[in-house]
Amino acid sequence: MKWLQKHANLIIEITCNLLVVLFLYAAISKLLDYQHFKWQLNQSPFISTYSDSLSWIIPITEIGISIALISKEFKLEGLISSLILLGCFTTYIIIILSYSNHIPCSCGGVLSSLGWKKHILFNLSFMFLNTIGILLTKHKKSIARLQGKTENL
Amino acid sequence: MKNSFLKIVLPALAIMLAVGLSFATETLNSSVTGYYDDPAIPGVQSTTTDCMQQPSGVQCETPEGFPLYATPDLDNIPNNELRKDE
Repeated sequence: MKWLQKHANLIIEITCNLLVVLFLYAAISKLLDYQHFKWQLNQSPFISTYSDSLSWIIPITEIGISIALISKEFKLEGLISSLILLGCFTTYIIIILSYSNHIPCSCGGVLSSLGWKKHILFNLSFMFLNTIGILLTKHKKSIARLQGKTENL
Repeated sequence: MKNSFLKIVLPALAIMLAVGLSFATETLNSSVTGYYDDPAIPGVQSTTTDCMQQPSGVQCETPEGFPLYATPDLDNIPNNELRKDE
């Protein structure tokens, strides 16, 4: 526990930067191959109706979360939004799996070559890392708040 | 020193890695495995192709003239054809 507290800053920064690599990579890959990504969304039984708007909303959200994760002020918000987004993706994959194995993955770059099940494992490991990041950031913020209060006394 | 590494260098490296990887794998993505059925050989055969699973375009074929598909299910599932822009 002491080790975790001592290295909290380093763990938070590494977690945030790993998430930045993941989201930026996914977003840029989607935008580079936009037509293919849009077609992949069209193949989905649930979201094909919204494929036009989603094909822009998803990469823009990923870039927005990456910016929040890099910034100092919105780090916690970025971590929470990335956990929500990863949760949505994982739920979507689980629902899709109950439909068919042949629906193409609308994920960016080499991630689409992962199988659906490997993709769930991949997402879950990032969600685990993300949760640790959120807990440590909250812990750090509450300590800073307490220190501020004691200084005011 | 440690602080500037965490706050400036690490994010810069992360951004560069993400951008570099997405461009690098974009080139890799252009070659995929295509599946076809040659009646003279038992089972489904595979080959590498630069065609993609896309809604429009000409369906790709092997040099022998066998149509290429994205998965070994061949034409048993819809939209499985590998195509190339005309």
